[in-house]
Amino acid sequence: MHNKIANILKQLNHILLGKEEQIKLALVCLLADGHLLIEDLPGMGKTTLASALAKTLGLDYKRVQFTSDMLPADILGVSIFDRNKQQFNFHKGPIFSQVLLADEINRASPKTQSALLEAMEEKQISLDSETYLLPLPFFVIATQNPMDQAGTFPLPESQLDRFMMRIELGFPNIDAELKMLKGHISSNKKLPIPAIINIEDLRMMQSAVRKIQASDAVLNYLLRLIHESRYGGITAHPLSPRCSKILLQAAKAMAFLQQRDYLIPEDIQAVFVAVTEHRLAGINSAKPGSKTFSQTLLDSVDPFA
Amino acid sequence: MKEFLNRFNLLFIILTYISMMSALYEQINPFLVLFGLLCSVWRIVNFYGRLPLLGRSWLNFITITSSLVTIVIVYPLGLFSIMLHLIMLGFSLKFLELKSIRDVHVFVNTGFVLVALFFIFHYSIAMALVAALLILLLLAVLLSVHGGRLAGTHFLKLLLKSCLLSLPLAVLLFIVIPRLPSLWKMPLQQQASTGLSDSVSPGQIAELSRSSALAFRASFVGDPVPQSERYWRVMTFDDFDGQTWSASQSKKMQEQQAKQGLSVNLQLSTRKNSVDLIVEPHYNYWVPALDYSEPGFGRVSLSDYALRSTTPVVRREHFEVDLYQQIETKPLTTEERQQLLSLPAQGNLKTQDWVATKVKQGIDKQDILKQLLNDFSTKNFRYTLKPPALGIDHVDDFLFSTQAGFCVHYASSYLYVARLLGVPARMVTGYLGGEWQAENKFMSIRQYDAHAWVEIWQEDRWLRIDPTAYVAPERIEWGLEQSLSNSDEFLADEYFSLQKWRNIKLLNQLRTKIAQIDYLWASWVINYDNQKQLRLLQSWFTKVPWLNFFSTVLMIMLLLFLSVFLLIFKPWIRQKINAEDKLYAQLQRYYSKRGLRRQKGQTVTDFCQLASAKSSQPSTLFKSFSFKYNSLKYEVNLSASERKKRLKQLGFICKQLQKG
Repeated sequence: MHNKIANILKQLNHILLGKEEQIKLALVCLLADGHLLIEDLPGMGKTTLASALAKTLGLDYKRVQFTSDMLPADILGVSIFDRNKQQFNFHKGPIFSQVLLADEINRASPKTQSALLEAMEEKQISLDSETYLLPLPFFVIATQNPMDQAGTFPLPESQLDRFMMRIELGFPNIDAELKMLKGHISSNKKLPIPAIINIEDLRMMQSAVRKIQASDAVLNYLLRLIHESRYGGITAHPLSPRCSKILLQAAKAMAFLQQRDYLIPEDIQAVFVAVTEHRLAGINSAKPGSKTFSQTLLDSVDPFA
Repeated sequence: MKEFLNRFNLLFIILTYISMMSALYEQINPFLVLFGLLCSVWRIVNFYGRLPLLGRSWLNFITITSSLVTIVIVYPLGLFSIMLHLIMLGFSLKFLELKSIRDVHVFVNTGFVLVALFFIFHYSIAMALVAALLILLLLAVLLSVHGGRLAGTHFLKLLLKSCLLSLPLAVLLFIVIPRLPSLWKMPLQQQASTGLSDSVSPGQIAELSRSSALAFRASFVGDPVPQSERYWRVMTFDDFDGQTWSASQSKKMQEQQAKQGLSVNLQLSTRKNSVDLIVEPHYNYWVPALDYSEPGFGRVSLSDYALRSTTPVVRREHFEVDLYQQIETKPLTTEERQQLLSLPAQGNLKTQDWVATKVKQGIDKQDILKQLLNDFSTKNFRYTLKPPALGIDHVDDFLFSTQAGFCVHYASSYLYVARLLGVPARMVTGYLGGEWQAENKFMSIRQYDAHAWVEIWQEDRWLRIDPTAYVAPERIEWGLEQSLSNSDEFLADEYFSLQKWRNIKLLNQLRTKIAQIDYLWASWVINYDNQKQLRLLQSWFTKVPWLNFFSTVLMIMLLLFLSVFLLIFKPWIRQKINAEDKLYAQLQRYYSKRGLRRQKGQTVTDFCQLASAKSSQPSTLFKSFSFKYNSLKYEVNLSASERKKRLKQLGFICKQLQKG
């Protein structure tokens, strides 16, 4: 199984150059059964990563480009009257897929955002007094532009909370960009990306993640971090019990990725920023160059205690 | 401002305040009580949002003004009273700034100080219960503020439980902690001293006989002194102005010297008994004395064999007095004899005539005195606490017309006659008798036991003569109550006194029980002083011979402090440091000496990575250290043998890493 993981990482790293850390986090997020939010400037490879991830994991995916005039029905689907059968027929929207790429989610109006986010939590949608179950697994990989870009509606805190992780891609380093320009890999989208695992493999991996063991010592470290966020006076948005659950899940997936069957503080630290920063900061993105909230927390809690 | 108290809290605080006020009401100026109630009402109105709490400058103004007014009003009562009033004022003013838990703490602590002050005024067991209730109330206030929303029964349970739990500690502290002498001198209360006064004229002791208040209690080490010998001497009067018996100048001088601790040296011999006295506060210096009592710690003798305390008896005080059989006397000096024979020149002609005729008839002095005593018992003399008023010539009126009176009348007349005859004589006042409580082996002497008798100088020693014994022998044998059995004069004013109803059996039993408990309270709690403490502890420790008293007290204190320490810091709860953590800490120490200090949030992996840059050891060794450390510390279900193996490896790597 770990072979397959290595292959997945290899393939993704081949598509998106010089972003090993972010690719690992994105994979961790999916292994931990969480939704992923990728935030960065346009043209940084957000969509490339998202689609490559879906294809590599062998999931069927649909992509929706969010715009400001989009309506909930554009995502969820719509009931249309069938004249022959004299009844309404539900036409499923793009949400009925295993992976939904919600491109530039913050360009849609809050109403549309809400419709999507509702579905993310419940893994089902209700329309015209009918409930439709979404296929499983169901992942949302959303991308968004930074808040200061024109024409964006910031996601409120409660909806940011639905994403397990938020990652930023950042600029590639010079080597990677040079490699890209030299056309080491062609950015030809037509080149097919082969699936390395199937759904069955993914399910097995997810159950393996759940079996990772966490000792009291490491749980204690995790709880001290959470406690510090609540009473340490660092942020106005303390971490919720749900967040501590999510953090543990993500850290376990990270341990799984490191081929370990027990959790260590390093795993928690590795996912901590991605899991908590968007919850700690709320809608205020951290100012560039300043120490982020999550990093401050990490620095103020001693794993060796 | 958010209200931090709920209605229950505030009600409780005010209830406590009012109880405290009423407990101390005798000592406190009514204006202050009124002011305090005003303050609490202000706080209640504030609670309902109708009035604001006062600002800082207003508070300062009110505090300073009211303190000044209080001082001015209370000033005549003395320093102690000022202190008490100021504390009470602070207690009241706290209502005006009761805005945080901290203020409630101050309130409660001030309350405790006031309870301590309460003990200065009250000693009885009933009052101790009142004080305990006050303390309970104060603790309840604390609990109600901190306890959140505890249900009624839960609240009470928790309160009582915590009090009961702390009770053994309090008792232990009471028994073991050395009594310190008071750090300040209690000013003498402006209260009238109770009991016998500095002078006596016919009529005075009758007032005392209306009171059943306790004067003092006595218990004997040997057999109790028989009833007829229980003449408790307090004052001696050798000066008579025709109306009143008082002390002469030289006696007054002696009293003054006694206050400074100067004792007259008595030549006592043959110790016969010793008596334990617990004297009720009378705000005076006297200590009752049987013949003949020796001076001792805290008390001095006068030349008339009376005892004086060196400090006023302002609280129940305990004296241990040795009694002696014999005393060596010196002949009277001329001045003394003169003083003991002096009489006013005018007045009482009838008596003078009567004595003169008897002398003319050639009757011996002693026989004349005997005849007078005989007249008291055979003629129409009557013992009553309500004698008819006497004219200017007291003695004449009493002997020849009214012939009704009590001890002072008889003693005074007898004295007058004796001095006319040239027999040196003096009046002694004190207490006679006392009620013997056989069960607890002590006697209580009450104010109505006050008595006056006469001493005459005969054969170079003082001879006690009690003229009252001739008119009312049952007074001497059975006490005042018996001598008045046919009238309702006994305790005429005290309708509710249990003393008065002692022929009702149940009430009498109740009364004796109360007296016993109060005696035990007085002797073991109020008068539990350093000596008693020493004796008690010594009696315990004699059973364990190797225990030295002082080192034991020290040991107990140490143990106490130690246990409190342990309870607070709970060292046994501290986690055991794991072996791998010790190794890791070792490594950290090693590298911190080389300028690499681990940052707080750093994991072992990060640390090893940084350390490898400082070291010549291969970085793989560092990596394996961090890996092994993590696996030891965080892997679940590690078998003991595996753990041992890895620890050994980790120890080895750790040693390697400290080589350079």
